[in-house]
Formats: sequence, structure tokens, C-alpha cells
Amino acid sequence: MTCEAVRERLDDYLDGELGEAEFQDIELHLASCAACREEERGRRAVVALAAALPRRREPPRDLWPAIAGEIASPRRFAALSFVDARPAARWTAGLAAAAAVVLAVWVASREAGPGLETAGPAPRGVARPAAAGGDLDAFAEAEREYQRATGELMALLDARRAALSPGTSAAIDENLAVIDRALAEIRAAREHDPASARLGRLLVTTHQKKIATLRRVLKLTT
Amino acid sequence: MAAFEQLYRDHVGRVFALCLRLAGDASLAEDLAQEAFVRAWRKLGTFRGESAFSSWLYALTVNTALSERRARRRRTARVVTTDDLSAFDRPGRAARPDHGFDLERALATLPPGARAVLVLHDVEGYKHKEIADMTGIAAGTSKAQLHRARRLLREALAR
Amino acid sequence: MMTRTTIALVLAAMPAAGAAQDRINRTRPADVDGTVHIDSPAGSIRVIGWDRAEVAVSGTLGHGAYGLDLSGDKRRTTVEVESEGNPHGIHSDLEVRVPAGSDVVIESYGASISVSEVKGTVTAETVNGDIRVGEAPREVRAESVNGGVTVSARGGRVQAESVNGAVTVRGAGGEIGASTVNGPLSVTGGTFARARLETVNGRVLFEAGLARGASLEVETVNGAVELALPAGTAADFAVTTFSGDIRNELGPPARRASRHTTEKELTFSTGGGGASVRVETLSGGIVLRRHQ
Repeated sequence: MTCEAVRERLDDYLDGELGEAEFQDIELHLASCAACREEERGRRAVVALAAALPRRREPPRDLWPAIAGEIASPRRFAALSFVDARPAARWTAGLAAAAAVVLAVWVASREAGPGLETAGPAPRGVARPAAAGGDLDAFAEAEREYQRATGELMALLDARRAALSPGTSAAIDENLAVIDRALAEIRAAREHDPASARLGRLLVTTHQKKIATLRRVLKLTT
Repeated sequence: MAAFEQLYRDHVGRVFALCLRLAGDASLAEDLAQEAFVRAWRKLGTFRGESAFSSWLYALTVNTALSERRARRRRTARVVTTDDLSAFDRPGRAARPDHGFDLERALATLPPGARAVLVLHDVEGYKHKEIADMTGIAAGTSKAQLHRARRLLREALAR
Repeated sequence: MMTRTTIALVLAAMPAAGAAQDRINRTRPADVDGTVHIDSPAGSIRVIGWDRAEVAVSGTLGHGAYGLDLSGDKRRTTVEVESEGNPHGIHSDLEVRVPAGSDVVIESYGASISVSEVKGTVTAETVNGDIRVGEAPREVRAESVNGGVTVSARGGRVQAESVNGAVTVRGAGGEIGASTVNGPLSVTGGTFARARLETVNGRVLFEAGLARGASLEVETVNGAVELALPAGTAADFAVTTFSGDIRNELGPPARRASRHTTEKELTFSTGGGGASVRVETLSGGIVLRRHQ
């Protein structure tokens, strides 16, 4: 066997992918050829180094908030199947953050009026809050969850600012400001009418829109 | 959701390491790891328990990383691929910081195709057949890429 | 999600750097119902379906591009402007002819995109350009951040989203999901089985028919909503606004929901009921009228 032929098969030899006869041929050659032995040792070292690399590496920052935000907001094309869902099912399926589930139940338990179906079964382990005070706490907690998720997404967006043209960046900011103003208006309306289930829902869907908008911008500009 | 967060905590280290090595770029790796978990969440219903959850998740991660990379690479500045090695500067495991660091750096300089096969075969321990199934290349191509990657890696380490 | 073939391309065929060329004119055989993936950072992308089993790319490559990758197997063709460095400034003008039955996926940052005579699924994404999709894909998914999205297509399913741009859908039907933040959203012509339209600030116009048992949901925060439905539409309406006005030419006037709130609600049926129409806004005015 020539040195060239041996080196061509050396990786298969190292990986144990050769048949018995070829394996023996290579062994034989290596025993008598110092240069090929050196080559074999070098390649074996690389393979060993690679195999010894740490299998785990923690990301530099916690990715969970962004993941939770993403799976909490409605799927991209599922907006259509969305239409299928009864309003109550929409909440329990679409909102993933724990606090938002509490909110969903809170909203659903108050949902009434023609054209809107009654709530689906409450998710297991989540009690239907009865007292108004408790509801408001749950609501505030849900808003904090959304704000945390949007905060994370905003940080991601800011990290990408440099790659955006000034016009695009300004348009995005303007639209986020539109949503923030809308949120403020809904909150103000809720102060006058804290019992309105519809306002609660509108607040939640507007938060979701902010998350969906940020996600869309991040996805398209990446 | 809480259960899924626990799965995330258990597996994010390996998923991120895989993305980092396949992408060769730290910020892209964060996006890919994130995308992999989001896809996993959406596809949980298709996980039949025939394999371990971890194998299922890692195969899905590989698919995410390989399919996303090409599209994303085009739209963001290419310069980051070899310059942004800050993630590798972070001492990952105290175990073998020097070797690990040199090798990670050298890995990041490989052509993406060769790097992917080397990461899957030599780091993750997949067989050529499995790599072929996962990526759609022929097993023979996988072998050829592996040989090329090892040669380039050795040259890079020798520099 | 991309298929394994594309991954194979990534692994097996890394682009070779070629001499920059300005004008291009290249073809490649393709299945009549395969997928064509087009990626060009800026400029214009015009996709036209034809009856040949090949993909043909013509046009000019932008300054800074080092070539055009036209590759893949027949099931899946890739058309991609190759560049190093930040590609956003590379303005290429491409005309891509694809087999009419193809699925087409277009990704860009700043290109304006137009697609016509493609019958498969059309997916188009850009940040800063307009997207126009004409007759007659079976499904359209189009997303822009700062550009407008215009879809004129019969039947099928349409998902059209923009942040700042206008979304305009004409003559479609079947299912539609559309949203904007600030841009106006307009759906005219056609008959829908399901429609969900959402904006924050943009006004919404729906001037189209509803199929039997259809559902139409419209939600805005500040945007005005105008629904114009054909005479004889059989539907149940549930319409709410908090501080906007409701003008109803299809049924009774709105009333205050209770003495303690400014919320106005209106529930009524036309034609014996059937389709479900739900409209909710915070401060947008609502007009319900007959479609002329």
C-alpha cells in the first residue's frame, strides 16, 4: 500500500469504518512507516480534542424570557386557525405565561353577553379567582409578565439598531409608540371602568400585538 | 409552560453549544437556540417518545441551525462570522479552558459545511448515516466533508 | 421550514467566488410543482409564473454582489445574490420566471417584491419594500415592516401583515388574516368564510361578502372601522366601542352598555342571522353600511 492510499483511508481507519482486510493493510503499513504514523497520531489528536470539547455551554444570557414571549404570542400563520377558536379557548391556548393564564380565567369568568361564548374549562391547577381584589392583583401580575417579555424583545431590537436604516428604525419606534399610547388609553379607560371584561381583553390583545410586532421586526431584520 | 421551562433549563447548555458550533457566531447562536426551543414547543405534539427527548430535541436543533443559517447569513453582515468570537472568550467549563478555546476558535474558521459535519460526527458522536438523514447530504459527502474538516482543523491548530 | 435539500446545498456547495458580473441571464431546469427560493437584499424582485419546466433569472446584479447562486435540484431551486460584508446596500433588479405551479419563497431586506401568475403558495418577506401579489396563488403569506402589502388574488388563504405600511387585499376570498399597527387595512371584493383583521391605529375597511356561517372579527384600538356588507347578508353582529361612535345603517342604533361606563354596544341580526361578525375598538368610530 502506498503512503497516499493509506492517508486517504486514515480517517476511516480512525473511525473504525474499514473492513478487516483493509484495516490489517493499514496497520501493517503504519508499523513500517514513521511518516504515516506521525500523520495518524496528528489526526487522532484532533479527533480526541474534538471529542473532549465540553458538550454544554451556557448562553451568555438567559434565553427563556424571549422564548416564553414568543410561545406566548399567537403563531404567525395560525391567525387563521385562531378564527376557529372560541374566544375563551383563544386565551387559554394563546397565552402561555402563568400570570396570563390567571388573567385568561379572570377574563373568561367575566365574559358575558351575546356573540361571545362562555369560557372553556379552567386550566388545571388554576383556581378561578372570585374576589375582585385578587383579580386585580392577577391582572397587574400579568401586565408585568408582558412588560418583562417586551423588555427582553426591546433589548434584542436595540442590539440590532445599527443594522437598520434610520428610516426603518424611526418607523418602528413610531409604531411602538402608537401601541404604548394605545395601552395607556386602555389603562385610563379601565380606571373608570375596572369591571369591564372587554377592556381587560383589549389590554391583553394590545400587549400581544406589541410582542407580535417586536417579533415580526426582529425576525424580518435578522 | 413551567414544565417546558424546566426542559429548557435542563437542555439549553447542549442546545446552545450545538448552535454556537454550527453557526460559528455567538449572537446568531442565541437566536438559533431560541428558535429551536420555540419549534420544540410547537412540535411537542409530534414527539412520540420513541427516542429520548434529548435526542429528539438535538436533532431538531441541528435542523434549525442548518436550515436557518443560510437564510440569515445573507442578510446580516458576514464579518461577524470570524471576528465575533467573544462567546468563546468566556471561559466555558473550567475543565480544559486552553484546549477548548483554541479548538473552538479553529472550528469557527472552518467552512460551514465541513464544520457542521465535524461538529456532528466528532463532537456530538453522530454516525455518517445519521448525519445524512439529518441534513440530506449523501453519507459519502459527509465522509468527504469530515476528512476535509479534520485536515483544515489540524492546519488551523498548527498555526 | 427549509427542506433537507437546501441543507444539502449548504453543506455540499458553498459558493465559489466568481468575477462580478452585471447583467445576468441564466436558466435551470425545475419541476413544474417544486419550490423556488429567492433571496436578494435590495432592489427589486419580480417573479412571474410560466408554463416551462425551468427557472430563468435575468436582470442586473447590484454593485458589491459577487455573483448569483442559481442552484438546487429540480424540486427546489435557489436563486440568491451572493455577497460579502453588509449586503443591505446591494441593489439588484431581478426578474425570475418560475414554473407556474411552483411554491415561491422570497426573502429580502429592502427590495420591492412583485409576484404574478404563480399558482402555488407564495411567501414573501421584506423590511423596507412593498410586496404585491397578483393572480392566483393558492395561498399567500406576505410580511413587511415599513412597506405596503397588496394582494389581489381569488380564493385560497391570505395572510398579510405590515407594521407601518398599508395592507390592501382585493378580490380575494376564502380565509384571510391581516394586521397592521399604523397602516390602513383594506379588504374589498370577494366572499370570505373567515376573516380576522387587526390594527392598533390603522383604519379598517371591509367591503366584501360573507359566506354562510362565516366569521368576521375586527379589532382595533384607535383605528376607525367601516364594514360594508351586501344586501341580504345573514349575520349576527356584536359591536363594541368605548369612546368612539357607532353609525349603523344595517340595524338599530347603539346603546350604552350601562350607566357606569361609556362603553357602547350593539348586538343585532340581519337576514335571520348566521355568520358571526364581531367588532371591538377602544376609541375608533364604527360604521356599518350596505355595500353598494
